[in-house]
Amino acid sequence: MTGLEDIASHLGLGLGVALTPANLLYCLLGALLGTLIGVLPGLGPATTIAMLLPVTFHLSPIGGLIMLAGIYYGAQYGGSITSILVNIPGESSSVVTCLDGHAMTRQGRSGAALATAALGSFFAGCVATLLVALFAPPLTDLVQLFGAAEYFALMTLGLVAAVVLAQGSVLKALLMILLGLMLGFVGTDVNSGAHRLTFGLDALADGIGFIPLAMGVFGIAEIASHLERSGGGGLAAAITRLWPTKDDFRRATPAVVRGTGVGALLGILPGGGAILGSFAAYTLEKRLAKEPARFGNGAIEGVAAPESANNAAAQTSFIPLLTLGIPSNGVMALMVGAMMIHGITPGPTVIDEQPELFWGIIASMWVANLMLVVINLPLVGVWARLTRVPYRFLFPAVLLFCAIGAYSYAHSVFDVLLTMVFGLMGYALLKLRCEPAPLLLAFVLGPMMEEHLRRALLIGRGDPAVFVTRPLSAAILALAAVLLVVTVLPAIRGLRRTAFREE
Amino acid sequence: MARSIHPDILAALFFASVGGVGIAAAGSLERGTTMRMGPGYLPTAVGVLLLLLSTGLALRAVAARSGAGDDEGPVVWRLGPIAAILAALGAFSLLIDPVGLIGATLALVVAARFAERPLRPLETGALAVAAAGFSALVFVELLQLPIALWPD
Repeated sequence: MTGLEDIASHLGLGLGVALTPANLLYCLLGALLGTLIGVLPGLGPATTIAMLLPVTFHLSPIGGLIMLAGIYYGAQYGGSITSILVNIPGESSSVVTCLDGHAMTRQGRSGAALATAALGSFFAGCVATLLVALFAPPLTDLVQLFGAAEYFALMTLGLVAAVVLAQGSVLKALLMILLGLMLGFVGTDVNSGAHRLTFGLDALADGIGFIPLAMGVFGIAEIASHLERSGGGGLAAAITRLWPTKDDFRRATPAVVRGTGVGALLGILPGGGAILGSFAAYTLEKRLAKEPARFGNGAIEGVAAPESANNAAAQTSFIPLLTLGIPSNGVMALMVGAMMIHGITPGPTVIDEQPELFWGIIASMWVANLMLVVINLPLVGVWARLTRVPYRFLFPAVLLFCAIGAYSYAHSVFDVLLTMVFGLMGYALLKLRCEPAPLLLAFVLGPMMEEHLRRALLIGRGDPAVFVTRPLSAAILALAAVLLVVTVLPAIRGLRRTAFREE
Repeated sequence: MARSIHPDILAALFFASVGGVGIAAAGSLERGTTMRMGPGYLPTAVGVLLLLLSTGLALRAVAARSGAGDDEGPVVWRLGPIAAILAALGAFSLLIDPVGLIGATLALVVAARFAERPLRPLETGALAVAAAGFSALVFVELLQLPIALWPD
């Protein structure tokens, strides 16, 4: 167990790294850029990170990742802004924020909603940073118990969780996972050196690029379907009042505390992440409320709880990412991609071998939260105006950023062409109501899963029983099985459907 | 007409063809044994699963069609926007190496604007020039990405 003075010294080390003028600047720049892009309708954190990823390649690993942390929080808050102002969720985890946030906007209380979201997120960020500092090292010790079989089991659990969280059909989510796995096989097999599924193209020998895939299935597909739905100017109402009333504070404060707890807990679970956190926190508030009918009609708790949960989960989901190397959602999958590009393999070794990097990231997550409050409270009025820019000006610019991002990563026209292919694929899949997040998760986890599976079976002499005779592996797989069964049960699916219909 | 086909059947066809192509492409690779898996083992396994589950998806869609009440409604395709977007990316990829970032940006913006009607040529021109200026300034001058601005 970590002593208090250890935690203080760890956080001190981290703050020492994060608070250098250069890194502070990267964090501020990241938070600003992330908010600026994340506030554009239809651009969630995943797209924003995918787009800005190449920008960070030219920095040192630590500077790059600190900037990414800023971009991440900025983009997430940007998504909350569009949810509240124009009822467009930037990502799945801010869907619930739309319900009461946009209702508040219609009542002319968008200022209160935006301020509550920012302050609630900041509180959640502070608490979750402490939680990460407390629990990341013990979790890392636990990780030493993990062998190939356990890793495989854990990644299976992550994939099952991706199915559980998908809002639509379970069967389609499973198919998207298989598709992601298949795309992950493309390239050179690490064990034999054979080219797999490259169709004779040398450009595919290193595998499919992460950036073209992410930009294609998120960015390009989203632009096309948004243009189809509506050319779209915003409907942002005038902001009458920036600060919440005393009554708002009274109602929001306990909701923020509960939301932080729920989010932080769920964020630790690989595969849990922000989506489940925000949804669970909203449901909890509604259950606890004396007048549940207020929810959906501008209840401030309906903004405060999911926004806090969202942010707390975002913070604690760095625990499985940094200590186990398990991305808990699509955004974390992008972060793994970013780390690998910087030559860092997330996992239990990071914390011992690169403590400055590890604690620097933890501390900069907190700094990024602070930056958000500093940047956004005064700028609330500006964000409202930005979302009124007609989409016909926005989308060519967004498309351009995607193209430049894809091209500049490897100086490769082939990657732009891949972005086109995946854009078309992602668009078609979106139209056929298949969600892209499970695909991306499987694409990132797949190659690691294969490696651990093959290694575990080699050690176990080809007997699949290794996965159930080792207690930890068996427990995780049992959890995954239970989760899958519970999801597939039609009764539960019916419940989920009604729950999402409440919007 | 695509409109009259249940979206799940189209999705099933897509997933099944990916599975089929995967199995075919992995066929030339050594499959190995469960203890020592070759490079072809898992792609084949995932391909088989894709075929199985997409068959399930298609069967479910057929069953839903014959039963009452499809709760999701038909998919309406409007191919203009996606075609313009792909054309814009295509133009960018054709032009970026021979003519540089400025020319490729102008082409991308102009092509992309065909996704929305009315076309507004003046506005498009101004937006293209502004985007070219912005990308040159931000990506090449400020962020120092190694991209040529003009033809050599």
